[in-house]
Amino acid sequence: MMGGTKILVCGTCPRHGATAGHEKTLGASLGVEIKALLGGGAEGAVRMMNCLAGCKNACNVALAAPGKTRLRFSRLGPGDGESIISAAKIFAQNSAVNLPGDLLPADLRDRLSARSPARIGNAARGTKHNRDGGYNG
Amino acid sequence: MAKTVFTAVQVLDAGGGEIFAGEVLVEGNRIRAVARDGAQVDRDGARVIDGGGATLMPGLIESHMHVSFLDTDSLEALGFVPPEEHTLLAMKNAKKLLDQGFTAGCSAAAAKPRLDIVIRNAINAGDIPGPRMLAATPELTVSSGLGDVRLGHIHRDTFALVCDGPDEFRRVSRELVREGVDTLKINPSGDEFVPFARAHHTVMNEDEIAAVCEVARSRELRVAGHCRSAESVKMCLRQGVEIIYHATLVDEEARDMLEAAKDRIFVSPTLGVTYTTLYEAGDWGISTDIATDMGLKRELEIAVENMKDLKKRGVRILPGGDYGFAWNPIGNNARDLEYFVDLLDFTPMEAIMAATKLGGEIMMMGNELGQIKEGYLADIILVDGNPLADVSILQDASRLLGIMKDGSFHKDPTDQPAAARVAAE
Repeated sequence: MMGGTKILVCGTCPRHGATAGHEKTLGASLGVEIKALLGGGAEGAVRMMNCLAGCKNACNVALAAPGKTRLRFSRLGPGDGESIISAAKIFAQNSAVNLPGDLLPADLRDRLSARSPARIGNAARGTKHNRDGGYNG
Repeated sequence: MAKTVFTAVQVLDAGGGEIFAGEVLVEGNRIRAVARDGAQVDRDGARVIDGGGATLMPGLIESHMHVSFLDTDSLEALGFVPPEEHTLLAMKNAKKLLDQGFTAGCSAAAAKPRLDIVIRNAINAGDIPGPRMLAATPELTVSSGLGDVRLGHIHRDTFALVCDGPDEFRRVSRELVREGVDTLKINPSGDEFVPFARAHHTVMNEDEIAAVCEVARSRELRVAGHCRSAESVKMCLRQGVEIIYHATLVDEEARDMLEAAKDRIFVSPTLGVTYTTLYEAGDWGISTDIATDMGLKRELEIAVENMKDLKKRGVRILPGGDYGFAWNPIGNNARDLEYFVDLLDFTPMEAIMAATKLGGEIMMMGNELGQIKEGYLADIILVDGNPLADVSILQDASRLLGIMKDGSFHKDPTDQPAAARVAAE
C-alpha cells in the first residue's frame, strides 16, 4: 500500500505551545491517530520527527520516499489522519518525482507548504558534472 | 563494575564490515567483548538485554555542533539572550542531542565565550545529560565579517568576537584558551546571507589566521575554520587548520590541497542549513526564490559536486549540518546522514561510518570511540529497524530503543524485546 513512502509527523508541534502537564504534543497525538488508522503493520511507515520546520503553522506532516520530492503539509491536527493517509497513498502510487498539487486530496491542497527535492544539481538534471565547478573567490 | 550484555542484536560495528547477528558485553564504560556466528559473551553477573533483532551500533557523533544556538531566525537574536537563560537553554539542547542518539559532538562555535566550556564541564562532571563534547570559542571574525552584527550607531553582539589584525586575534585566542576551550574557531570567509561578507569572500588575511594557529599550536589545541571560499580553504590549510567547515566553493587547487592533507584534516560541508534555507524556510520569509537569489542554490549545487569529488579523493567528509537555526533546528541532526545518501551518493553504511567512526576521529578519540569494538568506549544506540535499509529511521527518536553513553543508559531499553525489524523496509 505504502511502498517506500514514509509519513513524517512532527512530534514537537506546536513547538512553543506544549506545556508541562500535557502528556503529548498535538503533533504526537496526530501521529498516534495516523498509526492507529494505518494499523496492520503499516504503522511502520510513520516516522515521528523532531521538527519539520513549519513551526509557525502547526501541526506539520510530510510525505517522503526515495527519489521523490518531499511534500510538507501544515495547519494539520487531530482529525486530519484520514486525509493524510489518502495523500500518502496517492504519493506512493504515483510515479512522479514531484507530485502535482492537483492530485492531492482537496482539503490538503492549500495546506501544502514546502517541496524539498530529493536530488540537487547535476544529479537532478542528469548531466555529467563539471569537475571544475568551484567558484574561485 | 556494572556489566550489560546485549543479546539478539544485529551489530553494525562501523568498522567497515557487514552487519551481523551477535551479542555485545559492556563492562564499566567499555565494550569488553563482541561475539558473532552464534558465539556468546560471558554473562556472569551481567544484566542481559534481549534486543529482539534490533540494530546495535555506535552512538552518532555531530561534527559541527552548536549546543548553544537556540533555533533563532536571525544571527543577532542570539545576542539578545541573557547569559543565565542562555546557559539553561544550552543545557536543554545538550539533552536533546543525546535524546536523538548523539552521544558525542565536536562544537563548531559557542554563542558566548564560556558557554560551551560550562556545558562541557557539567556534562563531564555528570551534572547534566549531554554528549561528549569538544568545546569551541565563539566565532572569531573581523570587522564586517560573518558574525559582525554591529550597526554604525548601535553595538550588538552575537555568536562572534570581532578582531582586527594578528595581534587582536592572538590576544583573544589566548584569553579563550585561558577559559578552557578545545577548539579555536575562525571565520575567514562569509555566508551568502551576509551582503558584505558573502560565501566567496575571503575576509581574514593569512597573518590573522597564522596568529590563531600559532596560539593553538603552542597549547596543543586545534583550529576550525568557516571556509566557504576557495581562498579561505587554501590559507587555512597552509597555516595548519585541521577542521575545514563547509568547503563549499573549493576550486581545483583547493581540492588538490585538501587531498594532500587528507590524513590530518576533516571536512564538514554542513549541507543541512543550506538545503533547509533553500526549501524549508518559507515560514520565516525566505522562499526558495529568495534563497536562490541570495546564491544558496548555486552554492549548494557546487558544494554537492565538490563533496563527491573530495570523497573520491579520500578526504574525510563528516555529517554535521549547522543545526540550531529556526528552520534547521537542533534535534534534526540525523537528517544530515540522509543528505549524504541522497545528495552525495554515500551508501547508508558510508554515511553511518562518517557519523560514527570518522566522528570518533574528529573527536581525537579514533582509537576508542565510534565503533562497536572491544576496548572502545560504550557509546551505543539500539535502533528499532535497520538503518542500512533506511538511514532516515535514525531521525525518529521513538525508534531509538536504548541510548548508552560511557556505559550508562541515558535511555533504558524496555524489558520487552522489540519485534525483529531487520529485513529491509
